[in-house]
Amino acid sequence: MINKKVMKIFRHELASKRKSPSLWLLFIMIQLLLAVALYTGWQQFQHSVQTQTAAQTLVEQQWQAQPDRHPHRVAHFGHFAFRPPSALSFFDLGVNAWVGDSIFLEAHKQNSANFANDQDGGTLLRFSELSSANILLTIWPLLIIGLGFASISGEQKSGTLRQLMSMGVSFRTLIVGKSLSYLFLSVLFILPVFIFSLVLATNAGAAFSSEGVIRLLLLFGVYLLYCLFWIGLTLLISSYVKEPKQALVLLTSIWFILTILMPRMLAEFAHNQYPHQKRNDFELTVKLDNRKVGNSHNPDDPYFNQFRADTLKKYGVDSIEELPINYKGLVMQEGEKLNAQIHNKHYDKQLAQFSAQQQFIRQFYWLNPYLFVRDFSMALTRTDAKHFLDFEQQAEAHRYARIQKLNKLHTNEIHLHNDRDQKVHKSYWQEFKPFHYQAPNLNWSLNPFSWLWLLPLCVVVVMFITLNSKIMQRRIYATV
Amino acid sequence: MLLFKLECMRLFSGKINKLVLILFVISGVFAIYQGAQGYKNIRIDQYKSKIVFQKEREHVTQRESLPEAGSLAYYASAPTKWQLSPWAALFVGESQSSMVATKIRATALQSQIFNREIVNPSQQRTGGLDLGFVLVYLLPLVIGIMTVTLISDEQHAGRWRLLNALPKSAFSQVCKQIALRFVVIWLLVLSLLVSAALLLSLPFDAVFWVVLLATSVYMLFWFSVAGLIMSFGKSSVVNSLAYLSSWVLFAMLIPGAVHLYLSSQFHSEAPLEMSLEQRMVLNNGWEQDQNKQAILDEFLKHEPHWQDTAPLGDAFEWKWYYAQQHMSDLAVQQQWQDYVENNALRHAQLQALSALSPALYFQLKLNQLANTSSRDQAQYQQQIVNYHSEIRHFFYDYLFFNKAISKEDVDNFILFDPKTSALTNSTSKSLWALFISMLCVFAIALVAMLRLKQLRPA
Repeated sequence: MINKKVMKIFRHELASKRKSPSLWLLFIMIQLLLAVALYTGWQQFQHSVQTQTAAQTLVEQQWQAQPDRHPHRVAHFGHFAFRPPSALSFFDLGVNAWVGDSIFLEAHKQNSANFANDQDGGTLLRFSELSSANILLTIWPLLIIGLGFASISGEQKSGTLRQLMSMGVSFRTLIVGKSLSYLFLSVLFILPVFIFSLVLATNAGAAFSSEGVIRLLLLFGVYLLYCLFWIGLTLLISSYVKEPKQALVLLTSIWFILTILMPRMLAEFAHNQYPHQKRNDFELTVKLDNRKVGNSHNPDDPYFNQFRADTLKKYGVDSIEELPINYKGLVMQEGEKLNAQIHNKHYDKQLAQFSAQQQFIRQFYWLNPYLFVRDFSMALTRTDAKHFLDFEQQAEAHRYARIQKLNKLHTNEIHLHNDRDQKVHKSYWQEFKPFHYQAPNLNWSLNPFSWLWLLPLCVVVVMFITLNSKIMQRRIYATV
Repeated sequence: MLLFKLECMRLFSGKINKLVLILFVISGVFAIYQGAQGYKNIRIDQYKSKIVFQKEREHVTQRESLPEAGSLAYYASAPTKWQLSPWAALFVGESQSSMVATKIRATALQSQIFNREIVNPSQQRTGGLDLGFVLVYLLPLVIGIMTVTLISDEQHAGRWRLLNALPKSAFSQVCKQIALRFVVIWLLVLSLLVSAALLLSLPFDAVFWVVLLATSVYMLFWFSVAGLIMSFGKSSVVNSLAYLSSWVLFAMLIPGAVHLYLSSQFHSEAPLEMSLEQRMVLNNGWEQDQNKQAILDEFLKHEPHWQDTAPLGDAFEWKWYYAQQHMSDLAVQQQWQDYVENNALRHAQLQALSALSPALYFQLKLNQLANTSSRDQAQYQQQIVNYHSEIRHFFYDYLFFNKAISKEDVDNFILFDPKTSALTNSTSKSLWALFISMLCVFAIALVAMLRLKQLRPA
């Protein structure tokens, strides 16, 4: 398939692009932009790592340095969970600006992640941050369009296409040669940012593992696929539309629709179709449900009366004073359990709505590979909503375990009589494991894409098949 | 007249022109519809918060005996309200991603003020589609596609030379064509705004006219950019690429760069530090049994109105609880002040930097008109802070002077009074800003006109 003619066209196309000063200018400018984006991303990443690690160490120290205390006091003292930035988040910031980095873990209450960096987001982040990924996703396609919109229509218009054809260069050869040259340019263009990312990532320390290399390779692959999509589309439109100017306008319109208009419309539509609860609503439903099952702080609560009867029966005694353990601690455990169940039930509903929204958008991966590459890139760099929600869930699991451990101390180490005035020895605090966010592995990250990645690939393949098809050739030959 | 008809036919004959106009209208209608939905949800949230609070209050007053004041204050989460203009439906700003009905109670403020709205971060990352987006970002592209190749197309078709040979100058021909496009697009914008106003029952008041005027000026700016580009007499392709590049620069790169700059300059860990410190202060308060009186005394120094309160006994007392809650706020008071000032500085910087990009500037102005900018958000936050101290003071009489709380007192509980954030003031200010930007745009338009007039066939 790749013969001498193809290589000639390939070289000729490269040579002609090399002569264009405005293309050089754009190339250099976007490379600079990428460098700035990567640098600031890296700075942010390092700053964030330092802040989160320092804060996590501080709260662990504060926890362990506690004096003798009543366990329930400690449960209200609480703890913090911090979200360390993922190793490749300097490349793709993903949803980072919109989500908080720390969660306060306390008894009876599931707090959300707080302190996001989304000030003025509604004005300044309308096109998301200037991250490397975002530049490759939105601005690089424009350059591919600029490179190739006239590649066929221009030759057609200037009459060189006719000459080429009469010299025995088939349309197929032309397409392959030109595609190769644009692909070569794309690789040349995006390779530096990936090499620098690799260098930086290896400096990311503990957050980076051998899996990170695979992630970066996959990232490179998926962005290359994205380049191929735009190359194919550009050549296709350039072949269909006879005027280069019209090809350009049509291509930029398509670019605008695919990368800017459609993602927004879909996201807004999905949100309306599968709405999640706002904060006040969510907290109200949780509160109302909690009221229904019982209040552990209320001694005459029917649910807890039943619980008392069951406990007495279980231990074969007549009053809570005769229990070998502290009944108040048991009530705390039971209350925390109920409260967590109710919260999780509603939290799961929210998650279901989020994933329904995402599912809706996924249906359009085949139509708009931008959506696919954006989401795939975020998944690879662990910066999508799924990874953030995983952090929230890990933090909640940690909170629950920690509080229940305290409640067990309350049950076993504190006597019912004069409960409030007792304390447990401070050595107990050393037995609590610090919070460590477990970054999910590659398999988990890519789970939602199981076979979905095939669709955009098919689109690209179909596009190139169409370009090489007989019909296309006939069309071109007829108009030459 | 015949010429006018011909021009109109030419305008609407191109497939791409039609496609772009249709796309613009569809996006506009979609944005208005979505905006209306979002705004309705905000209003429901605010209204529901109010109703829930009323119900809870009724629930309390219907009980045989009221709980003690301290316990009442603990559970009395009173709703607040970010007073948005109805235009918030069209220019959402920060209103969709932040709390618009924060609930607040008499316990420590700092643990409540950073409460976040639940958002789907993926949706936020995509960046919403409100009418503001359509006007600020889509409209320039429509203008560009319909205008920027006017002269080069004439050149291409070989008419440009012909037109220049006519007694009526080619320049006036081009002006007519540009004016026709301006009017067509302006009418579309007007119909979008009017239908939005009718749908959302927005009043046709000063804000409406300011929005219309600002949009017209903004349109003029992009027409001038197109004119300037055309005046260089290059080919259609170069013109289109140049126009697209300026759009990318103004719409994406400058706002992105401003965001990077502001994040690096004004990034603050203050909220985190404050909550970490406050937690320790609160907790230590519980720890030192012997110091309870000291905390109360310290508190009374800050709130001398209640200094005649009785000393603490051995048992748990609510007044100590609220005193130490407030003291924990005071412990981070300085950081909070710095944080607020830092934010104010950030807003001022953003305001100044927005002059770099008309798109950013226009967007900020639209958000400010709708009370949805981050500055309005900061004002709302300040109102919450003020309301919080009103709530505290409301309960202090009962807590510190052991005054019995009655059902009438509960009924008279002060409610949040949303201020319309000196709207008139900001309107007159924005009129000035509009005037100045109008002058700038007129200047650019004039330059474009003069250059176009001198353009001759090569």
